Amino acid sequence: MPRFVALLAALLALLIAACGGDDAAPKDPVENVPQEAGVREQVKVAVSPEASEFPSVDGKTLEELANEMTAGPSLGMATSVFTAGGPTRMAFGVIGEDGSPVYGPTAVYVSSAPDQPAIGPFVAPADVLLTDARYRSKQAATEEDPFAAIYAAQVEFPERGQYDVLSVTKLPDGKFTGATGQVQVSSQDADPIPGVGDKAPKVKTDTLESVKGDQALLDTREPPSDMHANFAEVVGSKPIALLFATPQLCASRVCGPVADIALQLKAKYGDQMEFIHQEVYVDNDVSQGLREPLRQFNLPSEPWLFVVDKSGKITARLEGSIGVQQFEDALKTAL
Amino acid sequence: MRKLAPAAALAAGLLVLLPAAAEAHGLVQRPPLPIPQWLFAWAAAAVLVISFFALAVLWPTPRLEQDNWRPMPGGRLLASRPLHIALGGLGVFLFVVTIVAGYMGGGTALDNWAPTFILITFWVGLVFASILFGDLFRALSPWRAIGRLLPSLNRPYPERLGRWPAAIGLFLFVWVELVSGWGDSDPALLVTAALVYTVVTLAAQVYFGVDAWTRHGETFSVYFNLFARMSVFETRNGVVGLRRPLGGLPGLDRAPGTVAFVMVMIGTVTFDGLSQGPIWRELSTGVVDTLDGVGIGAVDATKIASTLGLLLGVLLVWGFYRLGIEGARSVGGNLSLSRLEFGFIHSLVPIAAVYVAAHYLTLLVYEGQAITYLASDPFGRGWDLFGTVNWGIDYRVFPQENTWYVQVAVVVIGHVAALALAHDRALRLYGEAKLAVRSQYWMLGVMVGFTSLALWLLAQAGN
Repeated sequence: MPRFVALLAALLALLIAACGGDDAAPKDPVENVPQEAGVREQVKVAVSPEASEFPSVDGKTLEELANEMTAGPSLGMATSVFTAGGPTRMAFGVIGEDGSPVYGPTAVYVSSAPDQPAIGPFVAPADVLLTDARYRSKQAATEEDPFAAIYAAQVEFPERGQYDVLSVTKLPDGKFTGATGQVQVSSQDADPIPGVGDKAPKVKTDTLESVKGDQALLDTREPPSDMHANFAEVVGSKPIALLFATPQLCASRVCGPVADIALQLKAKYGDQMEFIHQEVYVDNDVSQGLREPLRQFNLPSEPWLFVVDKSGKITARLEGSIGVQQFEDALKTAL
Repeated sequence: MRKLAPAAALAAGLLVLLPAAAEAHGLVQRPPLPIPQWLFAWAAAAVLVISFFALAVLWPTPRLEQDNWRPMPGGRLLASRPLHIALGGLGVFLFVVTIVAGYMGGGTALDNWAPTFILITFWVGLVFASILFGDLFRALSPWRAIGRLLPSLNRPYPERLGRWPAAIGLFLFVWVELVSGWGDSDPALLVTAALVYTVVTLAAQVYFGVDAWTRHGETFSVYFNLFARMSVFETRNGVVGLRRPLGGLPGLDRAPGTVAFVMVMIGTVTFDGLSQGPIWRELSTGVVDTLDGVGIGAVDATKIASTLGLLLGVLLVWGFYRLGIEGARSVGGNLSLSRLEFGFIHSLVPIAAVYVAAHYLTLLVYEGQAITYLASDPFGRGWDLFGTVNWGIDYRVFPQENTWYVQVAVVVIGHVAALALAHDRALRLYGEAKLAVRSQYWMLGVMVGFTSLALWLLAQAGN
């Protein structure tokens, strides 16, 4: 019996150790970027660009600005909804001629036509897409050539219409390289998607109950996450991060990791807010169209993140590819 | 050859069930195979048939029934008391860490030590370890270690209970694993179940004595001991020795409930494979819709459907085995059904092993890696005890495109091993080679059937 008591005492000591303080120190997401080929260093300097690093417009047209840059990379837009009359988020990747992402301090310029005066620069900090390894889904972990980071700028379009975009990335040798694209900008009134300050539609998001126990319908992430509460039941009682995404059916190279990022941040903020992931397509079949909750939010694309505060109001809205930092910043708006 | 016809027809019938192409598991597709999947099944069946006739011709006298155990160098040290006390202490330590992690650790599934350790490292990993290294769990069992520190009434263990408590415990554990969803969503409930099991086990050990309960009643000791009987290592009288592979299986005692235990072993994995395919999804949807219609919530309805599925899996496997035994009885020899049923049950252990190995190989190889980062911070306190907290799962550690080939190879090897064990036992039971071979036509049917079922289930799972 004394030996049994000794064993109990040892176990008690273990329990006390387990109850000790949380020693977790904040980790810089850039540490998750691989060091090979100097990518981590490139991303590191791309995280905090300064407007002063980039050419001033000085009345130049977008074409004139573009002519000052080395051509080569192409611009991959990761957002599709832009509104005029205030800052609107533009997420994008810059892809080199060899297909690899180009990282460096980056900004964007816009104009209503190539021969019209450019507006900018709008700095586009790089935001890391790679989570801590333990939060990577099978889809993300087996991605052959993952995007380490995405750029996101807050762009101000003066009015609705079509705009030309020039992204400018500063290379390690100090030269600039440019890539061009086009976007369609609508007015805020014409934007049907609930925005910041709006009451979030009380949608019924899928739960194990609603999909009749079919986990494969509930979550295409491998392994599936546990972020599947019913939004309609939670809203109004606590802050919510509502993510519309489909890890398996995501069409681009940059939208897949958002569910992983949500899972990582849930480990940090999960006791303060609810994290809900809603799959996108009916029966996970693209041809069957979008699921009801996405229709009620009038979403034309995926992924989307809506952060909703305790009162049910939207405090942040992010479309497309979202990095760890922007995701976390968005969460903080509701806390 | 007259008696071969019905068994062969049975086997052929099962082969027809094989799909022409791999079904999807979730949304992940297996890479295209160089030959159609049904051809794999026929090839596997052909290997079994060839093995059967090779055994009939080249194996005329019992071999595996003869004991060839011999002590190995250093065997006494490996079975020494201090080492056993240390391993028992390790088992208790891991058990307590698991319980505490279940209540205190954050996250679920692969982000919490408790479900990862219980459902992957312990439940799957120890099967492989037992087959390779013998009955490790006997030394590591926390219940056995704690039980030895507690007083014991040493009441006689009722013979009629046999392995029935273990069989029931196994079914309940598998229910927790596959049906409850606690591993995915509620680690605290999972470890509460472990604590309840601990209380029951310790109480039974106090009443019947540690060894009596461990041998027949304690689910995991019985489970891992059966697999360990396939190993070349065995401890006897305080010495670790060597024997031929599978050498421990012929010595399996005829305790009541042993057949049920093995049926639960195979039947529950059968259900797990089936549940990942479209056939079960359709069946389950029908049951869930019906129950939903009478006011039972969909989640509870799903659990009821899955519980029925588990039972069905066990009964299906049992029925199939019984069919083979009835057939074997029909060839003569005046052997009772019970004697035949017990007589050949040890031959199904390798099948249970390959069902686990083939079905859970990728779970162990991929998701099992989670234990490396969880070990550094089992309670989610921000620790990094072993410098591994930032590790993740490397899905490239084993090429996914090779999984199917490994699974097929494992399934075929396991069934050939089962055939050899059954043939060897038949030679002893019937005492006449001709009669023994005739009885084995039926066992061949059973083995081909189980092979086909295993490959079909793997096809259902699609990975």
